[in-house]
Amino acid sequence: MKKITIFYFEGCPNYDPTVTLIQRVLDELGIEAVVESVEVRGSDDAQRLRFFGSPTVHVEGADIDPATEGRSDYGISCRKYGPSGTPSRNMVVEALEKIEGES
Amino acid sequence: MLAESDAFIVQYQRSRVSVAAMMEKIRALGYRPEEVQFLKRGDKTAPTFSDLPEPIAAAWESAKRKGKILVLDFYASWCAPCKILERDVLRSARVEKALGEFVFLKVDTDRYPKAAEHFRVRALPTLIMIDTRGHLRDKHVGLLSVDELVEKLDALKRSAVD
Repeated sequence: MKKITIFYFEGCPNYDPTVTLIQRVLDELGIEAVVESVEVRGSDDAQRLRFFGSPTVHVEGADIDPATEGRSDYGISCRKYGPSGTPSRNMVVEALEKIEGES
Repeated sequence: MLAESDAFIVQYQRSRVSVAAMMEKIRALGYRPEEVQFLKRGDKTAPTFSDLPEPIAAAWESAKRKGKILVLDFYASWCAPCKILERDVLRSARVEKALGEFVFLKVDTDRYPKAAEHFRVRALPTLIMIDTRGHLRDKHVGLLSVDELVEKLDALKRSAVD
């Protein structure tokens, strides 16, 4: 089963909407996946977990946004996806369809 | 490879070189890229210092006149780490004293989304330091301690004098 990990810090206002979005897209696409949430507690965690800010979503270990490839500016921060604090529906769909295509 | 003080550009053919292999080479050379931008040839979207969006344009002009480095603090009202940075770091006496040597501007990314986009702010808080020639001198994403920020500011001040 595919694995999706949502990294967040306590109190992030964009965490719950991101969880809801991912569940909805999984349902729409009919993809079965294990969704787990991991709290990031400090800078060491952020480096180790490749955390670009809350919420950061990994699909099968890869960041949901391919544009992060090569970046290393990890830290305790609120992530921005363009003007929004949550990934777009399209970004989630593309990441999920990609892993489905690879299986 | 065109080397500058704080940034360089690698030109490559995407069909022949994988990004992963290229990043491995760059790291092997001792660089630790903190921000990577992928631009297509002819792309006009790289940050420039002409057409700076408000409120940064006025602040940069002021910094240039004073011969000081501009420090930008990109934040949002809903960003918890931004509030911690403000309360625990920016209001500390040591940081306030150090910032006295700079032009400091807080930029609300909800009010000024074009400013955030101009500097490719991808997380909050982000601190960006720009010298009077328009060179990006430092960029820090996320929380940092009073010691870390004072150290950064001192290093920038020293390099500005050298």
